[in-house]
Amino acid sequence: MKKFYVILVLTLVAVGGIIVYTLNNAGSYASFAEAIAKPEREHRVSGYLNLEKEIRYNPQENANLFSFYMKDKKDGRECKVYFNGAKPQDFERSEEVVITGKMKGDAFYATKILMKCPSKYNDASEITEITAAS
Amino acid sequence: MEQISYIGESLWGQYIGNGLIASSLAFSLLSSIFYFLYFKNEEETLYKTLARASFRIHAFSVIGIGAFLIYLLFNHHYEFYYVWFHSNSAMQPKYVLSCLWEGQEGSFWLWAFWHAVLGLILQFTAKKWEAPVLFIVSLVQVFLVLMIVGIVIEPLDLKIGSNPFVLLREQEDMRFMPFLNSPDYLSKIDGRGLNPLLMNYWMTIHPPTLFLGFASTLIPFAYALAALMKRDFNGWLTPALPWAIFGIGIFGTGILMGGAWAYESLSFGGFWAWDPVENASLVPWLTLVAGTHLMLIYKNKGTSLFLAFFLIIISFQLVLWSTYLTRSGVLGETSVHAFTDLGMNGQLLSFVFAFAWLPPLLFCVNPKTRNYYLIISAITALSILIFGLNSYTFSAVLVLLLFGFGLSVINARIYFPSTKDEEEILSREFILFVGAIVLFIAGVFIIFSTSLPAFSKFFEKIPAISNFFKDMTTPDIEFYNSVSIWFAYGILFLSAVGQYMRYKNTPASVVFKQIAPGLILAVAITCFIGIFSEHFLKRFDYSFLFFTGILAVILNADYLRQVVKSKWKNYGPSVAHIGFAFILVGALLSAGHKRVISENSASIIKLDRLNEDFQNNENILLHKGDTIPMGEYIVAYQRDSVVDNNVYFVVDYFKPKDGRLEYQFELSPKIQTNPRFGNVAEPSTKHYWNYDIYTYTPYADMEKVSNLINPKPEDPFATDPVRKVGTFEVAEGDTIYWATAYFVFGKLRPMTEIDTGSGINDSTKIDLEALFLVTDLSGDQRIINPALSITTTGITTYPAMDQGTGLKIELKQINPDKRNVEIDLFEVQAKDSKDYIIMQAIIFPWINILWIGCILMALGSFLAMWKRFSDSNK
Repeated sequence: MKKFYVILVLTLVAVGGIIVYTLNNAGSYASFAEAIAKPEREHRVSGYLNLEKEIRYNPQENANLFSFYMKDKKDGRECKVYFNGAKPQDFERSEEVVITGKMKGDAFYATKILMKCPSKYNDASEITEITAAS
Repeated sequence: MEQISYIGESLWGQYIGNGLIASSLAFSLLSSIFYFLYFKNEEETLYKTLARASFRIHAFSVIGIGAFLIYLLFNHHYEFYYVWFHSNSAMQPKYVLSCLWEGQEGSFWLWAFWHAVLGLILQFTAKKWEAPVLFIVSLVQVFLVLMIVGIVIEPLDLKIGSNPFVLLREQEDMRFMPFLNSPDYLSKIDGRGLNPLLMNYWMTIHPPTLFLGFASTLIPFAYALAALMKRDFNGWLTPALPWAIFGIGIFGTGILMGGAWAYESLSFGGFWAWDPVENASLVPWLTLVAGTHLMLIYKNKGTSLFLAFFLIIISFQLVLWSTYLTRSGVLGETSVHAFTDLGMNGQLLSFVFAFAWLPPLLFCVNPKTRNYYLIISAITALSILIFGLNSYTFSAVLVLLLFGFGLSVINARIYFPSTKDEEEILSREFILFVGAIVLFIAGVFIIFSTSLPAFSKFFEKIPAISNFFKDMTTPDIEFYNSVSIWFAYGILFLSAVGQYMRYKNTPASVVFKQIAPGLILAVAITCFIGIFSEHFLKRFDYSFLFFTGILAVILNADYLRQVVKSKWKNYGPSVAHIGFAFILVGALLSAGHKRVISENSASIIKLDRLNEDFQNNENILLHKGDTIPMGEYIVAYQRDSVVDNNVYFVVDYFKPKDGRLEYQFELSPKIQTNPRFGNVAEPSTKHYWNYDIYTYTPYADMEKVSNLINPKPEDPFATDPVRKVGTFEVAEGDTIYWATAYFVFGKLRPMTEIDTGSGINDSTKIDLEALFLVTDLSGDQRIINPALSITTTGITTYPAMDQGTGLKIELKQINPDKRNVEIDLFEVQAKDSKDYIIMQAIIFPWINILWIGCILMALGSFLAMWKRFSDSNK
């Protein structure tokens, strides 16, 4: 049974290693303030769309650029967000927006948008993920 | 409030529906009791008769619930909330099944239905295993039917299940709807309707297949627990094995069908997104595959019995855990699939706990250990009753389950039949064992990362743990890909060489001699493609994955050739392994080498100047009528076609040939509008045998789309939205510079002969027109003539527009003293300028290898199942 114990130990090490690795790589939510403090890192910020300010998507200027203003869920701070991609369908209807990207200057540059919309399949909220994979 | 007597409601329907639910619940309970008694007294035929009858009544009640719901859906009985919510009168009858399982209640029914059907089959096939196996099945059914009973226990503030036969006017959210005040509301309303997105054949075939997959994990689980109850620790393997293999086949098919659906009709841009719902169904499948292979080891070699038990048991438990994760709302913001949170969080969790708790109890053959387990269970249960389920009691449950696992290991060591053999590394059982471990670790990785958002919620009262998991979300797709590729290497390599090993020991030289040609061939193919192809295998990890995959295909095919002379029933494992390798190779070649061809090069705003991270140019702008190059094609967005509330954007594809454009095909990605469910883009894909061109429209101007669906009558007086951009005074020869063009004012001239002789009277009219030379950005020149006419009553202006630039000039007045004219410049937002689509086009090379792999894997599994089934009947 010696080999069995070798494999057992290896398995435990592998499981442990993978868990630690996953924890280090799992995404985590941040606020705009945290994103400003660490502009070199990628952050995930969750918040609400400000419908009163300009939501700009003009495909004739650039079909891959979309900008809007978002209020941080954590502290209500507002920031301009540029997204490298098309404007998601029904964006104005979103209840909550989660963006992934980096801060640069005064604006947040997102490469991924997750939006929570009221119901598409049923009465539950619906999450749509839009990625600008490049 | 006065009682309203409503007209036209079929209230009897509620009695039938609830009667069926009550009977299915009662008889599942009775069935488990009688099957337990029958198990304890094998000789007693009365118990046997009662148990069998109870389960059959239960099963037919469950079937009846579905049949009755279908009846209600067909006949539009909108007095029932479920019918109103999920269907409407306009819907085609063929979608009635989709409506049936669209809702949470319907999908729990579907699950219970498959358990009932499989249970009925087991009644005839399980023979001496019938009593304990059906006892477990019935017990699970009690919990499952409880999900759809919908009893509210007021004093405890407890709601058990959600009932599909609730009346519309009694449903919580609807109770106070004003239309319910009229007694004849029923004749006035129509159903809410099925989401048009779900009106396709995938919705008809994917859920039943996947739920049959879920249900299939119950049977080996029930056999394993039955074995523990009977203390017959190895007799269960033979009858359970065909079921386990059946599970691999049907569950795998169900999962991949979900991927195919996503690829074909949802605009995810691929078939696998590591979405929590996908992961949650993948993990039990991985452990089921691992467990099944360990069952094979024990059958042939007599080792790894405990691990086989463990993996088969945990597969069903993971199905329950996945159900909890995806249906309780605990994952919240991370899933694309979201289900209604019916407030059944606690109930789902107790379902998970119950069947996590039961196996250790059955493992405890030793009465002392059993008592320990029961005492600690009682304390834990009591603490939950007193304090409720919170972070502390939840931790107590975890400790209890860990303790139970420990006791199980101890008991297994004492009571399980043991073998003294040491596994040789070059033996089939060792390869199978390592393969199973790799699959298991892959499963742990995926389920752990998927469950991350749940952890901080569970431990919210223990800040030390909760803060650690706080704000944590599931990792992204790239991370999943980069980790799971390592598992894929391992599994593929092991499945390639496994069958060349014999059980017990195989000399290294023999193995090597047999696999060497395949190994060389695989290396050669990989190198050849990597060096000579334009796009493929340019990364080391991709090349290595391709190598292991192609090795698995070659070696399994070679093995197949060797056994081809034997019965076709023996082809199963090789065919399934080839299928599995094809799936991974197909995924690698298609998703790993997908090419976006809709590169947008002509943009006014340059992205890289804004931010160097913005590399994405995947969306292309197509104006109607424009013909522009895209990849190796020339594309033209030709027209729109409207079917119901779908707008298809018809795009033609051409290839240049001999200086002409040769028509290839057309693709029509669509936008589906739905005020209730939102607007959805659905892709359109051109399938070639060796690649697919997948296109969809991530954005469309909704004003344009809704105009296409409900064309407004053309308003003859309608003018395009115009914006005044400036007022200028210009003399002849002056130039006006504007962003998109410049204008030279040529001259002003009378349009009619001005009769100066008769003096000015009421009929005097002077018509003047101005000549402007427009030069646009491309250098094209046109002349426009704004005009005005002056009468004694006033000035009438006739503005002129330049169609090319959308700029309009209005001649306002003449200033004879200054010898100039005053003009207003307008920018017209012409309707035509909005006539464009934004499209994304992706080439998925060799995706058919993936689909062929799916079919081969299912086929191989069913062959293997058939072989094991006929073996178990010998």
